[in-house]
Amino acid sequence: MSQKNLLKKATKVLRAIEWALLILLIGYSMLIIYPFSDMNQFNKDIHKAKREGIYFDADEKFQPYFGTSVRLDGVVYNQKELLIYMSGKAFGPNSKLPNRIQVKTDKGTILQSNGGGSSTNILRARGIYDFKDVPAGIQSITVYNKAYSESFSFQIDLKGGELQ
Amino acid sequence: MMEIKYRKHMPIGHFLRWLFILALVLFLIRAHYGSKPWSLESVVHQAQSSMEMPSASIASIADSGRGIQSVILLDREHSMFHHMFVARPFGMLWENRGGGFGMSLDPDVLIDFKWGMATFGAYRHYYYIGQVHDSRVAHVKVIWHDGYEQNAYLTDGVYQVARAIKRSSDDGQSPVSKTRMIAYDKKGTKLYELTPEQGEIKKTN
Repeated sequence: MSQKNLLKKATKVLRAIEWALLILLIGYSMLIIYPFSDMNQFNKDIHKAKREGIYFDADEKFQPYFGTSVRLDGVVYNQKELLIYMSGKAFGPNSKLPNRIQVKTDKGTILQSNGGGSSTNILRARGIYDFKDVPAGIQSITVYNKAYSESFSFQIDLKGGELQ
Repeated sequence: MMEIKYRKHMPIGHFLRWLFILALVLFLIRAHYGSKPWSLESVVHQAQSSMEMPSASIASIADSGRGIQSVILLDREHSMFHHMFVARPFGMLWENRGGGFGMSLDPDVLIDFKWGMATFGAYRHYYYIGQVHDSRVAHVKVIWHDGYEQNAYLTDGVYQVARAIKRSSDDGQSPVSKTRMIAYDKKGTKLYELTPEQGEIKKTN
């Protein structure tokens, strides 16, 4: 085989390696950006709550909190239970949502969370914080947390509901 | 003529592909290891942000073996200290491998002796750490369950030792209860002896 042919063959192999690497890396990047997760479940639940008129949408801006940006997305309140939906944004492996949140009602009662869940990809996370056995007739709540010098706080009205 | 044209265009395609590959690799490194993974300070700071804790300074780093380092963080302002394990992926980056956060620094404690353990693969990494508020103490010696001795000097009033132990050799029987720590003054005189069960000596007023 001549030198020219050998060089051509080597270039071909190199090109194949480059494409293989590119496809692998793009595929892997897509997987961490759009993981197979239950992010859609949140939308389904919110849609259902909206139809029942117990979903309260929060039109809030992101607030910085310990290296992430967090936001209150909305609240489901059926006079017995509170579900707080939050979003967090941060690029990287670290947590994007507050580890815990507190809720203060318009009457000044501070409620304790019974748990929750979250769904995360490499850019953002959505979380739900569950408050069971809460009083009926809450007019508005403040969702907040404070640790050392950092804090966030969101206020939302729970009056009327959004019957659709 | 054809040959010349081919050679002229060839490197551009390769160059562009390698540029994309490099960009994707950098993106994935950033995604997996966070921003500035080459800086231990930054990795530690991000770990503390995740715990919703203020930033603390690195007091000391000890080699735990098997590529894992043990780090003590000090936060005098909020009277607490933290422990973290970090790995060195690719020999250049730092990676948070978990830790114990928020141990309180108490000036009424003359000396204490705490321990912790994390499992990485086939090895259990044990660490012994403590705070010292007795100015006479110059260094401590930790005598492990199997007789292995490690010396540690005080840095900013805290000390640490760490060691990796193969899982099969210690399973079923914790090596912790047989370990003890002896604190010495400058001249090598024994001042305290502590065990994990009796791990604290308080000031008596």
